[in-house]
Amino acid sequence: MKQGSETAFRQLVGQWQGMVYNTALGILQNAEDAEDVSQEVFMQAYESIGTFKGESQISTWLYRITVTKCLDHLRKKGRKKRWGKVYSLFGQQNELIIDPPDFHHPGVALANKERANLLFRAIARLPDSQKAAFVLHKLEGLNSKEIASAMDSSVSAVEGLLHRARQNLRQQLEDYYRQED
Amino acid sequence: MEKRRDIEYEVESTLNSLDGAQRAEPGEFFFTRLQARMRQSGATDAWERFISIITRPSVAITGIALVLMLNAGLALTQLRPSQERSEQAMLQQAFADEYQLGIVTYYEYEKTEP
Repeated sequence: MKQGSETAFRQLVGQWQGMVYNTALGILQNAEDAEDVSQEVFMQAYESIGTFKGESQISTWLYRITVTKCLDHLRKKGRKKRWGKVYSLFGQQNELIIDPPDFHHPGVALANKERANLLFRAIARLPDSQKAAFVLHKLEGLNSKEIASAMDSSVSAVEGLLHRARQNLRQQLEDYYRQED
Repeated sequence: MEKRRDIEYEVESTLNSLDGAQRAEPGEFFFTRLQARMRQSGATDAWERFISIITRPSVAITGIALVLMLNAGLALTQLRPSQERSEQAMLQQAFADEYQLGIVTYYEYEKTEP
């Protein structure tokens, strides 16, 4: 692939597209955005394959690009959302200020759909880095060490992120179920 | 107490609801769409790169400073005429006087006639 072979690139995409898309979908909770970011990930992989030294696994390298792109996307979306609010003050129509619809992950079993939907709503309210760490752990089944490599961070920092993410989610869900009663 | 246990159970079940979830896959022909996007972005890349370079604050400020300096330099040279240029102007003036080149319109020509 380093020599620009299209067949090799096609193989790489075919092999890792699920992993990249699933991660992006978990973090962004929007199928169109996830597809968009997945394309950007492979475009960057194609452009920067020369800099990939092979010290880490190709999956770790792709996870790193995916997480970075997703967090950039969320930041951009957040900025647009803020501007949308400003515009709406002046009476302009802006669909971005409307909260996104409920997200249903296509891989979740039917029996868990309602609970998963609730969990995703809570995940959406987490700070970005906690969100990314939790999604990598829950949806991709990565351990702290693998998440640390993917997020270019230390294992202890990732463990802290996961702990805080669980605490935040637990709090949100407890509040929700208390209100339900 | 019972209620508390119920809530804890619900929270735990919800937190574990993603366990065993299948991996989501992008739609069919993902590679074809990716290729199309790569081709499209290749065409706009050069122009975007140029725009991104010239809109960098350092480049833009340097460019403006350069234009202002050139203008200032030109203005200074125009305001302080050199000896050579004033001699040339005097010669031109003498030539114009000699051949009455200062008269440019018919009316002015008429006025000069007694």
